[in-house]
Amino acid sequence: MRTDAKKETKAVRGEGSGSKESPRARLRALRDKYIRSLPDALGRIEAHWSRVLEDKSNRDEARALHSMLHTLAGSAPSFGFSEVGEAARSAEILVRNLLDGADSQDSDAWERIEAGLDALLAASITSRCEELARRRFEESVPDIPIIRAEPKLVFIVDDDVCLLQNLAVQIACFGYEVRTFSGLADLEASVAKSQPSAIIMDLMFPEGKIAGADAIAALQRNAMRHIPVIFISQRDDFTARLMSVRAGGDAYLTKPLHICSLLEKLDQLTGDREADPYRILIMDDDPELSRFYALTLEQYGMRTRVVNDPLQIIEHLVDFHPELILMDMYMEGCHGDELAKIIRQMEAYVSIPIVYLSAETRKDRQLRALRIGADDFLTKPIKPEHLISSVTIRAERMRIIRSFMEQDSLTGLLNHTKTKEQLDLAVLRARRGGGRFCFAMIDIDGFKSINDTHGHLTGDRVIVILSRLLQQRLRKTDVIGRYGGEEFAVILMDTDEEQAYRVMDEIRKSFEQIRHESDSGRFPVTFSCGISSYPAFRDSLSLNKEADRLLYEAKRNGRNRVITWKNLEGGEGL
Amino acid sequence: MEAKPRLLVVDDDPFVLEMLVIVLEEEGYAVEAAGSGGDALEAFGRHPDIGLVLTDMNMPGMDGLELTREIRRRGADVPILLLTAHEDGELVRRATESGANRRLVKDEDLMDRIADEVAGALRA
Repeated sequence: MRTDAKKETKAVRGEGSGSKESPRARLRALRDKYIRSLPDALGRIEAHWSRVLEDKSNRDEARALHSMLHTLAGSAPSFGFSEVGEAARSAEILVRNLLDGADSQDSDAWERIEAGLDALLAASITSRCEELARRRFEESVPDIPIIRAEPKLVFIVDDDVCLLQNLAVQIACFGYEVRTFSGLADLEASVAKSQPSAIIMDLMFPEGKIAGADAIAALQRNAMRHIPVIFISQRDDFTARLMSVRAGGDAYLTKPLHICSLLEKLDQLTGDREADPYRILIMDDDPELSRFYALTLEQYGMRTRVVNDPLQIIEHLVDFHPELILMDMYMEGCHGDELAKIIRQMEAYVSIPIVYLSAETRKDRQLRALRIGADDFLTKPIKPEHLISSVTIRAERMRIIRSFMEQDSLTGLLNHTKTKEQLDLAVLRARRGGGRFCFAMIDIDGFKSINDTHGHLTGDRVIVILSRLLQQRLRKTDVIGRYGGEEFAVILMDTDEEQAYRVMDEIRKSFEQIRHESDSGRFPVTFSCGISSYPAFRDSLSLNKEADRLLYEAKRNGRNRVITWKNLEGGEGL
Repeated sequence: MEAKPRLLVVDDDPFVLEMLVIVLEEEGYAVEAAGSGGDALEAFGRHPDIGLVLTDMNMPGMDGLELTREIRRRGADVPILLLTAHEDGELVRRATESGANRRLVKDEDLMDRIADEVAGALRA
């Protein structure tokens, strides 16, 4: 460092004067550079330490070690990595004592330093992981749009004008742009003008018993590409269903319609929600071979990340977030089973599937690897089809298991535990990155009486409808969870209270419009909502408490309203 | 408005040095950066208009205390801010004796605080 200082200084000046980037961007880049330099600094600290151990009378090495720890203790906190700074500071004091001669006879002193340096390494890895996770998170947050991208156009065709209007209002509540047709006359011309994302089509019209199917068949013949069609009908016979399929229908629903199933179909048919490809991390120190595996898996639509240096795997785990790891058993510097152990010791990766690749045919070695946590063992040379099937089966199973652990079974939203975890994470990220977010708690008004009056099935449907509405209206980056029976929680990222209020109140108004069906008739439901925000409240517990308190205030003030701290204080008239 | 004075910033850690330069240049100061006590003295001689020195305490070769003493020996009474990795009674005593005006601990608020500290020292 002594020799580099001057050179570095000049580099600093050079960058400083010519750069057009904003200071903020430059500071961020510098912080990036700093955290990337940490492993190198730790490596040099380790090297000094091992030379001290070799020759315990070598005071020069001990002084060099002390100096590096001291520098780290100063620089790490300056860039916001206070845990690293503290660990470096503790280790620095231990080495200082050793240098002062207070401890040199004490054999424990050496072990304490060893432990101190281990703690420093652990703190650095954690900080680095968190930093990478934070950055990945930041990059994934889009800039503005609160409401989802442009609405999809849906045509509804039914000669029952009353049903037509009702459907139109309800579907529009879920973010679709709706055009209604009470007869078949204008349909063809309208489709020619702007092709809809889907058509909801009655089967029977004055023109004939399956006039709807005939009209669709004609439309599909002329359309540039297939138009998703949902047929709705009172008929539930085989012939009617067959005709609809032949006409090019994608779904068939019988009347009376459940808006819930209709929306589900509509979402399915218009959604661009193709399943995300599996993310596979390939750890093999042979670049040629690992590239070959990557190409094989990519041909089957998977996403891959190749890592050739075992020491870099942690960074890639956090950055790429794989769902499965393909790992070579024998690599330079680090054995596959050692690496598996390290990975499994990280809480987030306790259960990630690991598939070994190896030339190893000895059963005892394979067994040892499996005991440590390998999920499968593929022996080189590996046939592509074996590779693909082994990887697909395990990645798929992992997704299902994860969804059980994280999702609420009725709505598919995050469950209570996972939602709280996300809130903790949001706090952590905002603290580090200086961000802001809002936490909203939602409770369906009078839910008990809905259950009592209309039955639990209807109650469940109301819950599903609200969950779909939230999914439709909020951004992909927002976190939506089912918090309890009829209670939901939403984390609105990078949003202030005013924006959060606007979004939640829009959703409240839409929800109020929806008419829910039951055997005893159609009825509206409302919800109340309380919103707290970071950094006004700085930890998950108080965010939760405040949102809960405001939710209670919303209930107390007459329900069917959204309350934030501001409109509670300022709006006496509420 | 009166032009802001030139600052001399000294730290052997290139990351911290660059960070300080970015933050202070953003505040409108002309900043001379030096990676060692020796370089700092050289810059100090070259720029008679330096109005404040901000230096790390612990550096190889000439450390912050020696630099402070040397600047004082040359008769300059510019404000000198010493950056330390941590608070320590002994250091405080030695820093005061050397003729430094203020001490600043390198903690996670450093980036936010540094401009205020410099402005405060210049006003005093």
